[in-house]
Amino acid sequence: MKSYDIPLYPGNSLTIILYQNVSNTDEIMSKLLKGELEYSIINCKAIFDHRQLLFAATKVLSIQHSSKLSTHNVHSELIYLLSPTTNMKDSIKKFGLQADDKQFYIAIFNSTSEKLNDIKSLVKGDQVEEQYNEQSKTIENTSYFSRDTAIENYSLKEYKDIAQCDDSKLKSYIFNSMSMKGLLK
Amino acid sequence: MSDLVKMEGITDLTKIGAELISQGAEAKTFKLNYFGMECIIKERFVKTYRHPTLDSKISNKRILQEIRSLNKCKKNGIDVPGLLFVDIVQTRIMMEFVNGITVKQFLYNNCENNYQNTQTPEIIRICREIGQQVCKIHDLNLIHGDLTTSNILLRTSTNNSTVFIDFGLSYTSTLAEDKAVDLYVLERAFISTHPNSESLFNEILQSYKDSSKNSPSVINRLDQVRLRGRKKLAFG
Ligand SMILES: Nc1ncnc2c1ncn2[C@@H]1O[C@H](COP(=O)(O)OP(=O)(O)OP(=O)(O)O)[C@@H](O)[C@H]1O
Ligand SMILES: [Mg+2]
Repeated sequence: MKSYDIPLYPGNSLTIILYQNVSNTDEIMSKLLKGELEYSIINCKAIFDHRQLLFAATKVLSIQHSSKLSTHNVHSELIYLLSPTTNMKDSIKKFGLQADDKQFYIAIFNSTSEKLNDIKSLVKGDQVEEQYNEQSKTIENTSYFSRDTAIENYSLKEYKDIAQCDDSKLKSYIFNSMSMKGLLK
Repeated sequence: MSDLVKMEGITDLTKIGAELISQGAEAKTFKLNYFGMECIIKERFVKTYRHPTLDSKISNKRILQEIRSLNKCKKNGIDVPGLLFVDIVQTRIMMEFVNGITVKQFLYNNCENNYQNTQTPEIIRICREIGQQVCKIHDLNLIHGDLTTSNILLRTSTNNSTVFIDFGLSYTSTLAEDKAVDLYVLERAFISTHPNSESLFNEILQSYKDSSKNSPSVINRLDQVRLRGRKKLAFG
């Protein structure tokens, strides 16, 4: 678990938790569908590192600040903004929780100890102690990131050299695609 | 739920440690470490003498042109800074910081005012790469609009390979005329910033010529553009 302040929007933070071996995803899913959960649950296969969530969080706050969210609240907006498309259903399907997920990220804006306790008692699974990577200066998703899922979810085949590009380029393409959401011609 | 987050945003980026690295006519460029990553934030500002809504419309249009062109280049394997975050309302673009120097600075460092006698293999290689990359950009029917030696960077980590920036004046066009004017802008920039650098620009043109089947018509057009000379640039 790690909390980050969002520098561009002072006073706001995002807390990120990675869960694995979760055994009650259906229970969580049903609460989620009822709109009872005040945090984002994110499919971790297309998430490269914490920074990806933090840039999406920055964008949530910028939209909240200067226009209007496209979804109900900041937590659903975070999931929506991880996606490169403006197709709402598709975005939630690809970046939100799926019924058979045993691992996922939870992200919470301005979390409280009360909320963290709620999460702890709801989720039957293990919180992962994620390692900070000195070289990339972030916490990478070394266990569950899937290059193929990322290529699929971010339509990275549109980048000419995607077949032979290294991970740092792949990551840069992911950011690029997230940034262009809704702004393509 | 709506009061879960605080709405205030940072307007003065230096308050969060950003360093102003360039102040152009219409934009400020900052360098900022954001979550451990070196970033550039380019912020267009409102010119007070223009009508505010008209001005923000112009800024919006510029920023859209800029990011769409960057995106098109990125997808087609032309090295440009990757986008990290775009805020249309605040006219902010956050992109990757390219560690390196501008071609302008590189030429100043390596040529000591005499561009004729200092054609090192490295300088020639860079000029040839510029010609080739500009040609690739034009083959995408993209006109850069402001090709100068400050708008081309040399990336240190990849042995001074070229990175194109500053697409705020770019647009799409299939016309040889527009591409020729783009080359002419670069030629003028080269010669006015780097006296006696004609032979360097010729290297650029030669590799532009060698890089695409579309080049001959553009080069022919360039001769006409040169004849019309500065008038078109100054008043057109
Ligand atoms: N991604 C980047 N990485 C590193 N340096 C950059 C980057 N983008 C811009 N710069 C630096 O900032 C300067 C200004 O950026 P840019 O040309 O995009 O803005 P501008 O306002 O149009 O500037 P000008 O009016 O001086 O041309 C560049 O010449 C370059 O030195
Ligand atoms: Mg510039």
